[in-house]
Amino acid sequence: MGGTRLSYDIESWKVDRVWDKGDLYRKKEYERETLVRTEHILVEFGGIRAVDDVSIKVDRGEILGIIGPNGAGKTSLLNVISGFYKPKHGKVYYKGVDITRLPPHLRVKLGISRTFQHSELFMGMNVIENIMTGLHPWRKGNTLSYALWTPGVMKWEEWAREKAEHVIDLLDLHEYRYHIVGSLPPGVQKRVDLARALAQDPEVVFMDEPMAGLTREEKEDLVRAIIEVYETRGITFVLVEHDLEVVTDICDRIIVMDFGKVIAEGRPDEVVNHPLVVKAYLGG
Amino acid sequence: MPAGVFKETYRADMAHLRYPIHYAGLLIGSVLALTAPLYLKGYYLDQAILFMIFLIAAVGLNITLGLAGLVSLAHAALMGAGAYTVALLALKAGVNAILAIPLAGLAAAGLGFILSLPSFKLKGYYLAMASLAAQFILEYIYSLIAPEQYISIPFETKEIAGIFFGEGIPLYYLALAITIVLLLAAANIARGSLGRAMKAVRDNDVAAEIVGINVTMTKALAFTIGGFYAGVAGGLYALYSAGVGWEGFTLLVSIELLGMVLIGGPGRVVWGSMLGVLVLKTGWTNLESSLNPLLTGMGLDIIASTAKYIVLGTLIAVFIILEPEGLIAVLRRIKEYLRLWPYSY
Repeated sequence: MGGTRLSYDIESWKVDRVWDKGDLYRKKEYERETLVRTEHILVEFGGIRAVDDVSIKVDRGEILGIIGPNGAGKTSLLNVISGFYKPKHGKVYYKGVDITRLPPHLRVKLGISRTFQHSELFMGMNVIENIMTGLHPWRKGNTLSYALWTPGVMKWEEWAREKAEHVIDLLDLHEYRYHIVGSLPPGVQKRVDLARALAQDPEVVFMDEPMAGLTREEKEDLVRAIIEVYETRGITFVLVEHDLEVVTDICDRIIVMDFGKVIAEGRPDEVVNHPLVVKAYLGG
Repeated sequence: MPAGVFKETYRADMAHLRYPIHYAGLLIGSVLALTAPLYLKGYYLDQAILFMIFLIAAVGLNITLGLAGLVSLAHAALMGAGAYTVALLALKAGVNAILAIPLAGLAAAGLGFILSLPSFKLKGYYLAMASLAAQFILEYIYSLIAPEQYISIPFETKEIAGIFFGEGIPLYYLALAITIVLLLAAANIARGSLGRAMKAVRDNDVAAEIVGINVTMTKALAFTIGGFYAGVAGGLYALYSAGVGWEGFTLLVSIELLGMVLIGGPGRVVWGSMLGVLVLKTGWTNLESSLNPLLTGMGLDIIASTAKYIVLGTLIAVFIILEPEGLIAVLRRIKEYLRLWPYSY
């Protein structure tokens, strides 16, 4: 179930294998593999079906957009995939393995990371600490070895710090490194949120309305960051988003949801002209 | 030429001692602590020992409350668990009281783990209420152990190699050694991944779960470690006291410890706790001993007996409202001011 990325050690990071993976994706010399698949997901809140019999798949190496009006069930679906909601019915598969009942913290170890609509960062910590917290699932050593600060713990902490700095470089967060996250503007917080997810060296990142509440400049910065990460590290992205302009610009494929159901799926140009999508968005 | 202090490795950036002032502080602190029995005698040496005992307990509570954000009103009861473990082992099984201190820590850690169980489902006020219930239950159990008397620890169990560790200089150095080890361990836990996980649970437990932190285990760990510290402090307290009685571990002591953490600096496990204990334990005890005769002389006996709690309550309220980061934040601001002086920024 774990795959190769669970052998997450300092040496493998040093050879920078993730960059090689990015090159591989750019050349398109790989076979598309389905990373995440949901089957007939049903989520109900007090009798209201937030997600109604939804089956989707996310292929490796794509940027998938999930769009839909408010209350369409996009975030609920994302919460099911990241393990925060347990579906009333249906299954979630990751690389063909059923993970429906797996707790969220273990899904992260498999390679599923996510960001939040309202940056759910640790507001009392600085940027570096926030990013390093994302690496906690891979920590080495028990409580006693942390209390004694053994050489193994020291080495791991240095590795985690190096990894955090690497992501800080990637997302251009240098100047905010020691800033308490709660004091940063929303655009930077979104980037820190993405940085925390990327530090986990995920195979797929689910981003919940990353553009919400951002200015045009902040949106451009974030889109640039996503594309750069996608191109250089070959990470699969799933954007749950309202901003149609952003989604149609950068996504390979779009899934449209309305009233908890998938109403359309396909290439951006196909989807935006789909009669059901037009109806859902314009109410016409 | 670069101006300022630059660190060239991550190891140097994460070290406890990062600036020249840290080394100077360590040197001065070590000399003062090691030579204290030369200039502190009798009552004042006892005050130093009590300071260290309460410092260990406050550090434990700072891990549970300050780092992990889990309110515990049963910390004194956990101290009691440690004290009773030492007392009963020494009295009933003849175990050396000094060697029983680690066992006291383990016993209280186990109890701390049990106290953590409500935190899996409860937060904030509800968790505080659950810990309050635990405090009362434990107080009741302690009162049953020795209903009308203190448990006296046999003198001979307080000796190792003919040295009596129940008072004075030997007890001071024993407490100092234990304090240094436990403070270092707490600082290590706070600066590492475990400390960050606890802070993450404190700041946003939903996000903590999503980024891959086992929230339940982290909460249990925070209570267990806090319990261990309280147990060791209680064990030392048993060694220091002539007898162990439940009156030493009441709710008021729990609130006092809570005040030490909140006023000193929640989340700043070593320096915050140290400031809190310095103000509320050492500072207050000395102020009380000089003020009380004066108040009693003026016929204000009632104020003399309750002044401590009036001041404690007021201070907690003032700090929660005006300076939630505690005295340590005030000191940090003064330090920044002095660093930048004569410029304002």
